[in-house]
Amino acid sequence: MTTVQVQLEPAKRASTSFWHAAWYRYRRNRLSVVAGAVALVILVVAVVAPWVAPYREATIDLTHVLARPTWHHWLGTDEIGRDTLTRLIWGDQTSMSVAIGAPLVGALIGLPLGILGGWFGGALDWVVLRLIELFTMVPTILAALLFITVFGVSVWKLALFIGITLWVGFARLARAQYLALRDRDFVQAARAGGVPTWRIILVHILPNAAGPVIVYFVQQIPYTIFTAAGFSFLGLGIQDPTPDWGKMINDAETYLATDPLLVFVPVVAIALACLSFSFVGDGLRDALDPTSK
Amino acid sequence: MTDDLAGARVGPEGTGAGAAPLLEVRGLRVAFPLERRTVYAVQGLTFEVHAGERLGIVGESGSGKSVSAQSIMRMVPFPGKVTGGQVLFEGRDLLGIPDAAIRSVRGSKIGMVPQNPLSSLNPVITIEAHFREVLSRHLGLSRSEARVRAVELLGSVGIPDPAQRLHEYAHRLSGGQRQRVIIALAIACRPRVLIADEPTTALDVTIQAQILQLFDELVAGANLGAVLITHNLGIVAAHCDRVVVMYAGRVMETAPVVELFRSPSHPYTVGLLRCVPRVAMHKARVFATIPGLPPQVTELRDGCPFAPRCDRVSEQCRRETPALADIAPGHALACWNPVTDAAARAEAASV
Amino acid sequence: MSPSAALGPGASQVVGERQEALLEVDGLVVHYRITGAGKVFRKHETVHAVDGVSFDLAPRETLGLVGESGCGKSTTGRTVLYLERPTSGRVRFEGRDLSELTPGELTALRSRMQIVFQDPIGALNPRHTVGQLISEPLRVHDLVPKARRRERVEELLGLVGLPADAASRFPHEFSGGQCQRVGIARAIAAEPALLVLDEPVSSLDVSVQAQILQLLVDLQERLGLAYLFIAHDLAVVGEMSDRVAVMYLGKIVEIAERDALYARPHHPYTQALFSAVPVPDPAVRTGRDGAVVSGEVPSSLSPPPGCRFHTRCPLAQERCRAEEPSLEPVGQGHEVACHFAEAAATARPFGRLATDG
Repeated sequence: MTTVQVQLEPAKRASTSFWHAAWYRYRRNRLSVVAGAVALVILVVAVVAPWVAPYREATIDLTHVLARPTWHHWLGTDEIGRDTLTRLIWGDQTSMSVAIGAPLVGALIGLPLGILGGWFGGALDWVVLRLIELFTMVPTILAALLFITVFGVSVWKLALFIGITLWVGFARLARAQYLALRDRDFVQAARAGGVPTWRIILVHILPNAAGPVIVYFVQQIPYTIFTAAGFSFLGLGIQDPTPDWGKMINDAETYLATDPLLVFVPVVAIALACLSFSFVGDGLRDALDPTSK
Repeated sequence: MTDDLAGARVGPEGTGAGAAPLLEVRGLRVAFPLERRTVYAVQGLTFEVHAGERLGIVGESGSGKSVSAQSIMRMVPFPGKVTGGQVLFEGRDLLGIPDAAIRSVRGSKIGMVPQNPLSSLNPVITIEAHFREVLSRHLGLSRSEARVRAVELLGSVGIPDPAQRLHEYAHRLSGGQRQRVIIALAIACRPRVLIADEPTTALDVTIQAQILQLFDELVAGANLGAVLITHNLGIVAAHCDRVVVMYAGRVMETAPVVELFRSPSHPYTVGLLRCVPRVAMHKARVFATIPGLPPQVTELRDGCPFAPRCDRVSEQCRRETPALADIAPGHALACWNPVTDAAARAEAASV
Repeated sequence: MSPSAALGPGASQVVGERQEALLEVDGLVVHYRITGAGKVFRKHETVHAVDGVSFDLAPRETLGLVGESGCGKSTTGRTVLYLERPTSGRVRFEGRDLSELTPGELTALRSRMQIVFQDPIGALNPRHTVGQLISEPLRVHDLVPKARRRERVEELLGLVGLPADAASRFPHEFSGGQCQRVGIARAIAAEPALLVLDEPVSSLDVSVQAQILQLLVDLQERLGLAYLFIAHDLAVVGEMSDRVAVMYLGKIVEIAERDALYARPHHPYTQALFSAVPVPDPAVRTGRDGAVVSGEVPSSLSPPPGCRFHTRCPLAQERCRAEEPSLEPVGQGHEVACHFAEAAATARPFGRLATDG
């Protein structure tokens, strides 16, 4: 036997998977790391809101109306004496529910459609494309407004309505990814190996398409926060007593001149949330883009 | 050239003498600082090209041959940096002159034929516009003069019906024709030196033969100095006059082509010659191989880079880097234990 | 090489004295319909990728399929495995007509015929470890019980000359040559009888090429594999093959025993290919006497009528432009599709060939 044994370089470091390498690249971007920490705090606070908020969600204290910050009310109170910090924390839960929920709905609808269209092509792809075109023609905001008017609003309905407007992007992205990956040699190799189609779609292609999908998902979060806040500000979003950042701005608008802190707090919260998720998205894009390697 | 470049001018020995080389590279070093390590792509490359001479730079992937060509034109891709050496052309060091000056050399005095003919032409402008850009910038030709010259150039590289082709876009041409257009662009300003970086790798063998034949004709016709970078020893044998064999960013051996193939002396050269697939009369059962892989140099240390794969390796090879030294006129070698055995050489030359 | 029409569908079970063909390809045609640009409406055009290709392959034999890009050699290789469905024609593997198999049967048969790709890195899923990649065929075809899979993977790695600890690494940690070894390990994991090798060494360095070719030769001997070796390089094909078929624009123009073809190529295109191979010997300067074949391969959207090579053939006559030559025998197992095969073999339109001297 004349086979040549190939010596590999001695393993100096542990084998690096794609995700390890991505994490390494992400870590090098300071701004994204800081933004990631902020986003994480925002998310954690949203989850643990019932335990960290100083007061009950809808506690009204008419003896302390429009109070300045005190030891009892760190960020003051609003026109009916609700603690602003409490509202901020509960509003975080509302905002994040919508901000994560809506892209989730979009992904759940869009990804399967895009994957099926991109992988199988033909008539199925034709139908998916026409659906995408149809939904692209309808102005998304107007569609969401229409749903709100017809079906009313709650946190979960809002996530659903905005999510429905987001599926097109997910479908497009998944379709493009699957189209591009379908003819790659490693997919052909899997087919040649007799790997069942469902396994090729889920085990071989999905992990390769995951990077761009995750990035897109995160990029939709600030968009959703903004849209939801916009609806609330117009009075069409979340209704009392559920605390919501957009609603807080709307309520406080009247007191802008006398009590600017009331407006300032939710505005800063929205800006911080949008910016942090936005920078996380940028960092993820750079970290997960295989071409940047 | 203008006087403000005088600072970069190199001593008088570079000018005057009739036998002076057109292009001279001395001790060139290029490094790529990457995320977690630095790749030392070229470590002290020295060669010269004379008028009418075709110099072949041959090596495997990672040998630094393409980076060498790019650094002559100061076009090393990011994050690569030239860290030392000189590129002497017309008495100036191209590595030391201002950016504006190097731009007037690129594509004008030194023509470059890049590797990939499919992506080297801009898809959204016509062939004519490509020529107009080069000819007006470097030679100041008017639109109509440029058109006449472009037709002439396309004809000279063997493109049928050149006047018609001028109005077309790159995607309408075949790979071979695109490579001809790129060659025509490279020689448009009558350069003194032509650098071709793997000009036929993407092409089919019959088209490769046509392009290389054209290359030979152009070099002979205009008395150019040519640098042909390739991994294919067959191409070197047929289309070069002198050869530089590179490995891991260093020159292993350099010699006139006939000499190199007749008496290869570096174990790497010998091994490479044995590995080349040949059209033989019978099927092979045993293939000559060089064990291991071509390395990527990520740390500078003493010793011959080929030592880990060499069958003639000694303790000295692992400790000291052999310097490039002449063993015969024009034949230089960097090796502690050169192949002198006539039998081994003969085997390499004709398996 | 005539199509073995005599073999019935159940013939695979018959083990005759004569060695039976492992793979029989008969009149294979692959056309693609593409949508091109038109003046007002989009035009539908047909790419004639493979246009009537027939050959067969015995167990343990290597057939070289050589030609330039666009000649249909890779498409032929993929269609043989039914990775693409032929427009018409028949592929029989171990006596079974692939077009008559149910998808399930075809999947099961996939363990018997495998492919190695040109791009060694692209053929490996970047998110899977080498161990996962190699064990996938074992899992899919349920060949080895789960407990023994790891052992089998290490055994396969050893067979292709990689250390056992390669199993836990990812493809990007390996060089092209090492990735090609992984690709080969995966291809032989299910113990196939046939490997389609689609330009397995063209993207590798010369010194690594030889290692992979050696590995393939050794594996063939050890495992009794048949190879369909696809390449553009006559030198590499010649080193590997028992028989060689030369393709041009979707058709086989010449097919013969390797030694016969290399000793006396008949078809002018075969000769053109030989003359274009750069010879690593400065004393032999091919192509310098103006014997380079002119022109380029015509578009496979509208292949020329008559002999497809007539647009570039120095010997072309009126007949070549009008009448398409069929493969005719010129010697034992040597068939040429040229009206003037004998004359061409003697005339040597492209001067000295790489085999001379």
